[in-house]
Formats: sequence, C-alpha cells, structure tokens
Amino acid sequence: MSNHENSLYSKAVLFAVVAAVTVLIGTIVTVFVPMFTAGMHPKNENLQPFTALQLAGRDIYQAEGCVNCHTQTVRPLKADVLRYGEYSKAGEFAYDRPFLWGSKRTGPDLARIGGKYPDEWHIQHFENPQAFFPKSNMPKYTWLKNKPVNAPETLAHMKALGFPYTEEDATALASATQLDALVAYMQVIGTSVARKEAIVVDASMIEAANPLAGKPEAIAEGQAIYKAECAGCHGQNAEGNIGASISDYAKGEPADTDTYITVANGLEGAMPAFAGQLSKDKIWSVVSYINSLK
Amino acid sequence: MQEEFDNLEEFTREDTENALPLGWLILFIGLIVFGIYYVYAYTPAFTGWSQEKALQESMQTQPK
Amino acid sequence: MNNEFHYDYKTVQGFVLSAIFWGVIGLVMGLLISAQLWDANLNFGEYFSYGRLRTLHVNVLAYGLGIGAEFGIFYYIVMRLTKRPLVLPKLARFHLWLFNVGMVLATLSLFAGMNQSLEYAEFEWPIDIAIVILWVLFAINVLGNVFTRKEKNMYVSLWYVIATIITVAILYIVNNLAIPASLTKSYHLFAGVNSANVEWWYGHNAVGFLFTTPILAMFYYFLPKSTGLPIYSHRLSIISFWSLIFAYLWTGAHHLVYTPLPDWIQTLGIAFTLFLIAPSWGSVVNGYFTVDRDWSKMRTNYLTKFFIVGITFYGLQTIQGPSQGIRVISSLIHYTDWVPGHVHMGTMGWVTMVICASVYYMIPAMYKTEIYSQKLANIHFWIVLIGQLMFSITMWITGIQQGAMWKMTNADGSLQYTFMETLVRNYPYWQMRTVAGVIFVVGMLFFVYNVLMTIKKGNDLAKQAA
Repeated sequence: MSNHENSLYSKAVLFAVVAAVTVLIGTIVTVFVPMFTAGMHPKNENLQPFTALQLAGRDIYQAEGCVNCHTQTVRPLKADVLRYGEYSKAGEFAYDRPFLWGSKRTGPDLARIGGKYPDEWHIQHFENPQAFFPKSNMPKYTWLKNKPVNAPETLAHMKALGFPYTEEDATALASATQLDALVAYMQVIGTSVARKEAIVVDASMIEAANPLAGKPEAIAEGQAIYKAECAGCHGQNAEGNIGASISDYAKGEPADTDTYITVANGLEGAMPAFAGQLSKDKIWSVVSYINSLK
Repeated sequence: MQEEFDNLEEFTREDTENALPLGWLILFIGLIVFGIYYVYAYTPAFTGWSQEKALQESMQTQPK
Repeated sequence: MNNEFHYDYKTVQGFVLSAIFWGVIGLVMGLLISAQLWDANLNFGEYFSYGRLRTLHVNVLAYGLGIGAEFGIFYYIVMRLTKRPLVLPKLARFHLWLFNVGMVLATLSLFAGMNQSLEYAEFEWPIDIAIVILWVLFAINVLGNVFTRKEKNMYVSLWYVIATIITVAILYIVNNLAIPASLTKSYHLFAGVNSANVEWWYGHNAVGFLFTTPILAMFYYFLPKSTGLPIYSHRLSIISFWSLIFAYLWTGAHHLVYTPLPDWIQTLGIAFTLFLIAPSWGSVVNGYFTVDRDWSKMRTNYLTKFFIVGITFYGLQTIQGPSQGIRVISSLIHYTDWVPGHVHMGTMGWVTMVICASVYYMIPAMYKTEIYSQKLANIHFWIVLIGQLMFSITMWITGIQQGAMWKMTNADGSLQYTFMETLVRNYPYWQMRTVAGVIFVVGMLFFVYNVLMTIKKGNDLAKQAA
C-alpha cells in the first residue's frame, strides 16, 4: 500500500467528513427533500383527527404490538383489492403518527376494517378470536375489558397532538374500558375513503335459481364454509348471536337469489361482503346449506 | 508484559495489489446501466407509468 | 503499560459476555413466539402475548446480542489497528455498565407495552435518549483512538467502523424525533406517508449499518488474522466500501413497494437496491479470492469455514434482498413468511456466524490461551448451519405458498382462498420452524459453553502463573 500513504485513508477527519457526505446524498434526495414537498402531506377532505376514545384505542394498538401481525395498507393489486377493498390513498394517513402500515400479514390487513363489522363483533372477537375462526392464532385479549382507559393521560396525548376534544368526550373517556377504546379505533380505520367492494353482485349477474339446490355435497360444503366464516356471528347451530338466527331466516323461505346477494354483498355496517373471496359455487353451496335448515 | 499490536504490513502485503476481477466489474457497470433504465421506465414523470394505472389495467381483465 | 491494556480488554470481555447473556434471552423468546404462531394457547396474559414478545425478541437480539457484541469487538479491533489502548478506558467501562442497565430498562419497557410501533425503533423516548448517550460514549472512544492512532494508515475495517458510527447516529436521531406526550409515550414527528418514508429509510439502513458494515469490519479484520492471508484486492475493498455506503441510503423505499408512497421514490429505491448487489458481492468475491490462495485453510484452520460460510450467506442475502425489491416479486412475497426467512438467513447465517467466529478468535487471544475445544466449535458450526437452513427454507416455501394463495382467483373473478385457509396452511411449516429454532439454539449453547470454558481455562492459567 506504499502508493496510498498520503491518501484519504491516512487522514481520519477528512475520511469521516467524506463518508458523512456520501451517506447524506441519498438521504437528502429520497428523505429530506420529499419531506418538504406537498406530495408527502396530502389529506383527504373528510379525514378527521382522532377522537379521544379513538386515540386511546390507537395507543393500545401500539402498546400491544398489533402492527407485528396486521398491516394497514391495501396495495393497488387486484388480489388485495378483492380481499380488502379500495386500495390505500396517501391522504388517509395525515393524522397517523406514526404510520401503522406494518410489514407482515400474519393476520389480515386492517386498512378497511372500519365499519366492516358491528362493534359487538370486535368485542367478542378480541375476547375469543377462536370462537369466530377455530384455527385462528390470534391471542385472546381478555384483559382489555377489565382495564379502564387512563383518561388524563389520553387527554394529555390529545393536547400534545393538537387534536380537539370537548368536555363530553373527556367525561365519556373516564368511564371507558380499553376494549371500548380499541373497538372505537378499529371502527374509524380507513373510513375517510368510501367503502367500495371490487365485486358487487346484482340479480342480472347470477342464475335465477340455485344450480346446486338440494345437492348433498353442496350442502356439506356450504356447512363447512358456514362453520369457518359465518358461525361466529350467526351461531354454531345457526341459532344467531351478533347476527340473525339463520334457521329462523330459512324458515321464512327467502328467495335463493336474495340469500345469494346478501352473502355476496353483505350488509352495510353489519355484515361483510363475501363476493370477493367466495366463488359463485361456494356462495350457492352456502345458500343450499341455509335452505336445508328450514 | 508488552502487548503486541497489529502491524498494517500483515494486511497490506504486495499480493493485495490485485486488479478488479473482470466479471465483477461487468456486474458493477451492468447494474448501473440497468438502474438508469429502470428509473426511466418506472418513473411517472418520464413514461407515465404508475402503480394506479397498472392496477386499472389488471382490473380490466377481470371477468364480470 | 500492562494495566491500561488489561483494563481495556476487561471492557471487551464484559461486552462479549453481556452479548451472550442477552443473546440467550432473545433466542429463548424467539422459540416461544415461534410456537405461539401455531398455538394461540401459548400466549400467557398481556405480558407474554405475541405482540409484545415478538417486539422483545427482535430488540433484545438486535440491541443486546448484535450491538452488544459490536461494541466489544469494535473496541478490540480499534485498539489493535490504531496501535494504542483506548483513549478513555474508564469511560468505556462506564459504557459497558450503562449498556446493561439500559438493556434491562429497555426490556422491561417492552414488556410493559411502551412501544413506538416503528420497526427496530420501538423504544420510547427515554430509552432513545439513553441509546444516543451510549452511542456518543462509544464514538468518543473509537473516534478518539482513530484520531490519535499510532499507525499512519487506516485499515479497511476502520473505514467500516467510522461509517457505522456516523451513519447510525444520523439515522437513529432523525427517525426517533418525536412529540413527547408523557414519560412513556410520544408520537412520531412525521405523519402518514412521511412517517413511513423516514421509518424505512431508518429501518433499512439500521440493518445496513448495524448488521452489514460492522460485520464487514469484523470480516475484513478476522479473516486475515485467522488465516494469515491478507485480503485479495485492496482496490476492490475501496470501491466496494464507497459504493456500498453511497447506495445504501437510497434504498429504504423498497420496504414500501405498492404503498401510497410516491411512485418515483419507490422506483429510485428499487433501482439502488438492485445496484447494491455489486458492492455486496465485491466483499464476497474479495473474501473468496483471499482464501482461494490456499483452500486447505478450510481444513487446517477451524475458523475459516465460519467466515467463508458467513460471507456466502451474505452473498445469498444480498441477491435475495434486492430481488425482493423488484415490484413483481414484492407483490408475491411481501407481507408473507418469506420475509422472516430472508431476515433469519442474514441474522443467523451471516451476522451470528461472523460474530461467533470473531469471539472464538478474540477470547483465546485476550485470555492468553487456546480455544477450549475445536471439536465443540465444529459441532456448533454444523448444528447452527442445519438449524438456520431448515428455518429459512421452510419459511421460503410457506411464504411462496401463502403469497400464491392470497393471489389465486377463480374463473368468475373471485379469490380462490379465504384468509383463514391461507393461514392454516402455514401451521405445519411454522411447527417445522420451531424445530429448526430449537436446533439453532442448541448449536448456540455449544458456542456459549465453549467460550465460558475457554475463559475458565485462561483464568486458571493466569492463576497458575501468578
């Protein structure tokens, strides 16, 4: 190395300065400069700051490490849009400090969870996820319902973030549990974008009568799908829980196409849509199973 | 007891004065060329490509 | 003279033992969470639920094992290459104590759920401040030694040491800027898309400058020391170093492919990520050609295979990683178990392999003895290699399966599988991963035993001499 003797590698201070400049170039171009451009600070028109209860829930979401298993960003990819709904927009996250997009989907994405299920679904599901999905690996969050929200602390957080709140919010917060807060947070996620399913079914798109009506194998398949996806809300024996009793429903002799469309499109705020993740045959099988219950 | 330290000579003998391996140099330059092409092809301002447009195209092949 | 050098080595030894201690805790946590993934009944209340323990596993191993070992090994390398004892040995000793006290508090804070939810930056602001202080103490000694060195030229390892110290300081401080709301809670100074961009600039480069450049510093130092073969090409070392540290900082956005981050930032990130194959492989090729002068070293020197297999996994890691950045591959494997498979090839196959080999070299040198058992070191090598390969390969298979099942559609345009159907198909692979983890941990216990016995041997010899 005789020819390097008076080089950069013998001048430590100079070397350190050159190294710092080298690492700062990419940093400035891809991080520091964008930081000061409008494109990095978009905000949807109807996006509201978190309420005190929602923020308390978000704090719990962070504390419990939910981001380890759940993402909050729907990719602009066909399969993501089919499964979760409209893809995520930059303007949805203006109040997210930090962003909670995550990097692993051990559980499903939650970017469109707000309004997908009724509150009671979340309450029961946090208590015992396996009651809804027997093979789910989500931990049971049984302690949340017994722990009150730390109201003064949450209000201090609201102040630190500059989010507005009223006296009523503050009083309501004092009697809320951590579970109430987490559910309130769940229900606001992704709601600044209108709910939009990739597949919306109408009568013209399906057969007029159930092609699988009465077929035993279809009833068996329908029952398996019911146990996996529906029993949590409608009861293991279709007796009803959060959702209506399906045996009662079947006794009312509904039209097959109406049952199909309800399963496919869901009910706003009460029941998720299944058209994106169940094929026509599978939905017809579920219809066959429901009919077999009367 | 005197502690021994390392002499730089043991790391920088004459046989470390080797040129860059040709295969590696081709990889190095090739990746720079590809990087320039890639940035050109997938930057909306240059070619109009965007991930949103790519989604719309993929959804159009969606049977109803 | 004697006292000062001796004192310095005590700090190095302290860091090595601390790293081993935190490493064992982090590995055991890893085994528990791996089992929680296939049996939810293994979650025990809030303090031992997956969400908290997974965070703990990552941080205890990254900060406790990884950075703890780096502190010790860097002090050692820097003293040797600057030809002088540490400028402030007492400060280094304080650094060691503060590190362990900080790790205890940090671990407890994660159990308590104080979590910023920023990957690799989970600690809340009081811990962040402690980490910055630790880094400054470290930098004072290392840079102090470099600036007052007794050797005119700085060897390659010192370049990587200096780059690590500077870059980590910038990354850590910027990403942890937060609005404090209370002693235990703060909110990221950056919001939404901006928050994501800053976090992954940090997150990717934390990996780069805590688990790539420091390990390269060890590789460039200990490979020649163990084998007696100097690094093949100094010119290749130079160009690899500068192009690596230049390109790394552009690449964070490859973690945000197909998110709302502006397309142009994603595209730049992907392009620079692909380019990184070249500087990474510069070090790989340099390592191979170094040993190419005499491959019999693989047999005659037990440490050579650690370094060569380590750099091989570094090479595989740096081909796999950039490939994952490409949009079409990202769309298949992102968010799946492929990614933990990738991460663990790096941490188990490259980082831990080279750290262990460095420790095997340093401990006998510092305690003036020979390694307790080369045979046990060889057993350690083969067991961790089997455990790591089994871990990564099972995760790759299930990751591809999962990604494909998420994507597959029926003729009528609907998805073929519900989320639960895709989840349960992971379980057999996750069980296999737990087995792989147990194998790896057993291998690591051989390492721990061997190191402790070598220290005992050295101490006994010292007593006899005295």
